[in-house]
Amino acid sequence: MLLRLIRYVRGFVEFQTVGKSPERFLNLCAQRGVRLWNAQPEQDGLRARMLLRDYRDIRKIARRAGVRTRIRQRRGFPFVAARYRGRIGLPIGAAAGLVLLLVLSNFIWTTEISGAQTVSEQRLRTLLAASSVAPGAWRGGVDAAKARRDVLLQAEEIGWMSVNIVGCHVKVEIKEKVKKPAIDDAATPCNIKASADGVITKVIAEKGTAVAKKGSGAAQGDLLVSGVVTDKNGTVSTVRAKAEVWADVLAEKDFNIPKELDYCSLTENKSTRRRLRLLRLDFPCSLSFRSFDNAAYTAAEQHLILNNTALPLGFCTETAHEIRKERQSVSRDLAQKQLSRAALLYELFEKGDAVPVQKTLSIDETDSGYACRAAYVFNENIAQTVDFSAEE
Amino acid sequence: MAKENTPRAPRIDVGSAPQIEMTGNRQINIEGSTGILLYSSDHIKINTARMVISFHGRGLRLRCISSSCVEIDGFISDLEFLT
Repeated sequence: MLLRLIRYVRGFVEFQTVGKSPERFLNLCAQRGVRLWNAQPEQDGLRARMLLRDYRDIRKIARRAGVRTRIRQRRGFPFVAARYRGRIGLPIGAAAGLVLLLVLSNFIWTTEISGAQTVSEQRLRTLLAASSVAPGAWRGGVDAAKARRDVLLQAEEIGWMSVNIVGCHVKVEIKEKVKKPAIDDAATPCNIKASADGVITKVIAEKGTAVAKKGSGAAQGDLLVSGVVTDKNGTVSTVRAKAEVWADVLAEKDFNIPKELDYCSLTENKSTRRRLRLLRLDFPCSLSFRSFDNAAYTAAEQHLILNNTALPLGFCTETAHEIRKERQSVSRDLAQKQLSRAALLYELFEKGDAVPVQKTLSIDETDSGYACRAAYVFNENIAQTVDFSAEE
Repeated sequence: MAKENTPRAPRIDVGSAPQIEMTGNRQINIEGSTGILLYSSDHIKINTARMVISFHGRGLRLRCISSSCVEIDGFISDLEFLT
């Protein structure tokens, strides 16, 4: 392979000899140190290959051997270069390409992160970028050890990390810390107490001694199920009480709805700007002079992907969508509807498993808007585990 | 101490003899050639200091030739030493 490359760079010819004594020609070439290869006998002579430099000197040898030589093929770099001798742009372009290659190879092009399971990859990229490890950064200015230390200090969930710069590619490997297992407190005795005031509707005691009864009232902090158990023989022991105590609990929620509301809506007007992004440089590709007082912006990036790796070369398209603001007065009916929606969201997201037994919505009109109140009776589990204290 | 009477192999002068290296019957490398006497696709004769080596076969060709080394490949059917 190397020999072929050398021959290509130096240039070689495939020639044919015609004459009575090709053997004499071969022997004379060998004696004079002229290298030839792939010599194939033909009807009136032979066909062989020889370096271009040697071929210029074999005229005497051929005359002495009584053969005539004729070139059949010319191969190699000198012939290719001769073909493009008149085109000055080609060597300039090649030199410029080489310089560009040398310059661009001093930047970081891609960052690959492996081993991130629960840690956000985007967060890691942001932390690395703060330490100058990001596509477009000058490779000589990157301190991999410092970047590693900085990221480990800021991301506590990472236990081990390595930052390796291979050419223009940064390979980051991380190992996340193993979380401490939860302490099994199944053996720790405890009581069940009330987390809110209410009237008890159901008691399901799996472990412990039920103190509260259906129909009785309970104040917040009252003992509902005791962790002290006495068996038939009168032996007293402590257990970890486990129970569900359902009770009707009163709850109130206030909402304020203003008399005027601002509504924002997107219009059909938009302005798009397109930029070519190379490393950290942006080159505008389109002109857009439209601007809006209120706008929502969207940005989309399209990167060149090579061998499953996104290169820092691509287009960034930013679109500004005009937003129209409208002020609308709120009537009592509309306020009523809004209150219903807000109450429903409160039931779903703040009260969770609690079942609303009774609900009353009221609206009072004030100077600034509508004061709304939702009064509820929720049936919910008020059992709250409380460990034994020293006083008990 | 008794004198050693171990028989010795007869000394042969191989200094100018050619060295022939064969890879099956497809490739031959001869060191110590002094010239090519005959060159065709089915018969090649190589001169050396002590003998002439003759090859018969099919599609014979000289892969490489220098002042003392010749490399031949092709299908070699017959090898003959002519002294």
